[in-house]
Amino acid sequence: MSRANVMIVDDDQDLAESLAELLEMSGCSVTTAANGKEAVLSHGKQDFDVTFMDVRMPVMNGVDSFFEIRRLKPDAKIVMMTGFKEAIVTKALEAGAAGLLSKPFDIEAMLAIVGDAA
Amino acid sequence: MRFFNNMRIRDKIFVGYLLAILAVVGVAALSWRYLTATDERFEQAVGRDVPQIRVLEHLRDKAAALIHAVDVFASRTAVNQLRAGSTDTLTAKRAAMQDAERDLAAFLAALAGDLRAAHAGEADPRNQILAAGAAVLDASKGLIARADNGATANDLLEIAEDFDASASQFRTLIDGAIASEERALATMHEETRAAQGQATWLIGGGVLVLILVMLACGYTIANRIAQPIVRLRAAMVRVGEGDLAAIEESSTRDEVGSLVDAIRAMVGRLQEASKELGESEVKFRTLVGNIPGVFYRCANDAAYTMEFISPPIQDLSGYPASDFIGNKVRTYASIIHADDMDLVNKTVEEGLNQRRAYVIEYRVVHRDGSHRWAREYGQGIFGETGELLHLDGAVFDITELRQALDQAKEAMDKLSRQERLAALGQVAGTVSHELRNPLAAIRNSMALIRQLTADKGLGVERAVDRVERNIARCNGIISDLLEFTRKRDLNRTATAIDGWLAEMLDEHTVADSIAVVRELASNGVVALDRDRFRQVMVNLLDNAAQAMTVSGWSPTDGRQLSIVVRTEAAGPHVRVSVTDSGPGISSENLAKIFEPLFTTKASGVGLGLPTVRTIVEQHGGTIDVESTVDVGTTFVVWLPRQTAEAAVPDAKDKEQAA
Repeated sequence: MSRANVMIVDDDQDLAESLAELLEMSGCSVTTAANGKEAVLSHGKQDFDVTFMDVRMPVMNGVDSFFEIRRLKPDAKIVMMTGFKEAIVTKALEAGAAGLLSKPFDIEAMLAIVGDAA
Repeated sequence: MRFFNNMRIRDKIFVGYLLAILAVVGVAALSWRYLTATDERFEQAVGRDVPQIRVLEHLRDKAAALIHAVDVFASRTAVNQLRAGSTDTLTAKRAAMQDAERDLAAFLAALAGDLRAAHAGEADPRNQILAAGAAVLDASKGLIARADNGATANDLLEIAEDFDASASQFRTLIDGAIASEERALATMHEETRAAQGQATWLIGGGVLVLILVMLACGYTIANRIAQPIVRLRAAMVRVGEGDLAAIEESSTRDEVGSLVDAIRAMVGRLQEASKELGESEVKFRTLVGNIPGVFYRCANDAAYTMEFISPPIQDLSGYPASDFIGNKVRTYASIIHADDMDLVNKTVEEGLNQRRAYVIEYRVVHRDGSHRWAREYGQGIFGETGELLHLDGAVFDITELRQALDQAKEAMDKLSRQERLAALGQVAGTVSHELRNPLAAIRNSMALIRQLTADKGLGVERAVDRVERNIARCNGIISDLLEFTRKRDLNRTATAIDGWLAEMLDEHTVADSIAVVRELASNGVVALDRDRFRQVMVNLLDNAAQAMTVSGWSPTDGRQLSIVVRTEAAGPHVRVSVTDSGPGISSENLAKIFEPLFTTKASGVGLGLPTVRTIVEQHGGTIDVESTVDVGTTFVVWLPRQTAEAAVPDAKDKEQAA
């Protein structure tokens, strides 16, 4: 597996950290962001093979962040993560989000997506 | 006068004219008669005197003829004697003289007869004339006798001279009589002229007096006709001013009198009708005043000037009806809550445009500052040509109804919420309880892993820490859920809320960047479960602090971050408010803010405010929230103030201790 460049966006620091550690163990390069705005700023600095985006976050939510990033980079691959079946997510999916991971999800599912992206 | 008063005006005028005509005729007849009589007297005098003058003139002529004949005879006789001539001519002369003598004697006899008949025994100058005439005759006879007796010419001439003397005396007497008669006639004429002049003045004066009398009569009649009308007019003016008893009984029985009586009767009926109207208005006002609603009529002008409004407006607004009538002190619009004004205007306008009655519910701002809910049934009153004349309406105080409805609705909401919460509580309780054991197992296992891996350099400490931290988080959430779903009774104590809050704020700290401002001025005592209500305040303060310190937000105008905790007295309530100057809450989220499990925070179950609400409601209070995006949010808690009689004795001690 090549070294994939992955971004995890989640305001739950423990969750973001644990996912990052697991992905790094699988050989990925992982950047974390605590909210949608930080994610947009990171995307301005570098490209990611895949971005995992939580929906409910302070400052800027995942869906708004999704649209911001797509405006900068129309081909960016963004997978939405959600603990609730929020209606707002469907807007991102209809607009071309790469997929949806419902919390809690198996780390294998995430690794499979990263594998496809690399 | 009574008779005159009772006459009709037509008859009065007729009688007036008749009297005037009679007076004119009377004066004319009198003056004609007077003038005629004067004339007659003059004519009589002329008829008597003129023939006498004629007679005397005749007498003078006859005497003259005799004197002439005597003179001729005497002188001829004397001449004959001197010449001793024929006597033929003398005889003729003598005959002529004797003719003249006889003529005069006959005339004198006739005159004497007349005189005797007319003036027997009077010392009339004409008797002297008769006597003188007789002397003349005697003288003439004596002359003839002397001549026959052969008197000498000288004797005859002497006798003739004597005769001339008596004849001359006779003529003087006659002339005197004639002059005297002519003077008498002239005097008579003058007297008649004077009498006629007097009569003319008299008649002129009479006519003048008549004219004055007629003028006076005319004026009096006109006055007598006009006066009642003038009085009637004055009375009518007073009637117009409302004095219905102003018209007196008429003093005359003519047309004006009957007019006055008719108007009197009419005003009497008017008075009765007015009295009835007054009575019915009193009835109406009593009725309207007793109906627990406000009835009004206002004019269709720019200010909707109030024409009538019933007294219960005082109950609704705190202001007396007299304030509103004629918009004297305030308009009705001024007591309508500003926020409801647009709705009221719109509804009235629509109703008037479509010409149908309208119903509006709006708030009335009472004099004491409280709000009353009013329901108005209104409609426009239109004139015959379709123009809007008035607005009528009935306004009812539906505050209690509204409150009851609100309470009922609230109770139903509360009930359904409680039902939902009860269901949720049951599930949450069960689930939480079921989760506690697996979580305990995980925690124990993690403790075991920590011991087994200690000092082995495996690098798992971070992961183990994370697991333990999140197990604690789960336990916290489970505790929150159980806390929220557990029904607890309050342990209330009478508490002076201002002092208690001050103490509570001293103990509870928030971030240094936030200024906490206290405005505690309610002076209220509330029956409080202090521990539970501390939860409420901590929750509200922490929410406010978190809202303002959320990462990525800062005030656009650089204002001071502050939390204002304020208490105020509000009627039977104490109003406790917590105001932050944070980012505010969108109206969409504001509507759901008290719903359990709703949260905008990234972490949190969404039970904080539902718990706050439950506690407040357990205290018999309510909680509201107002928020403006980018300005801030205010939570307002209304707690029932403890009344003096409800206060337990030891409450004061506790208050003092606090």
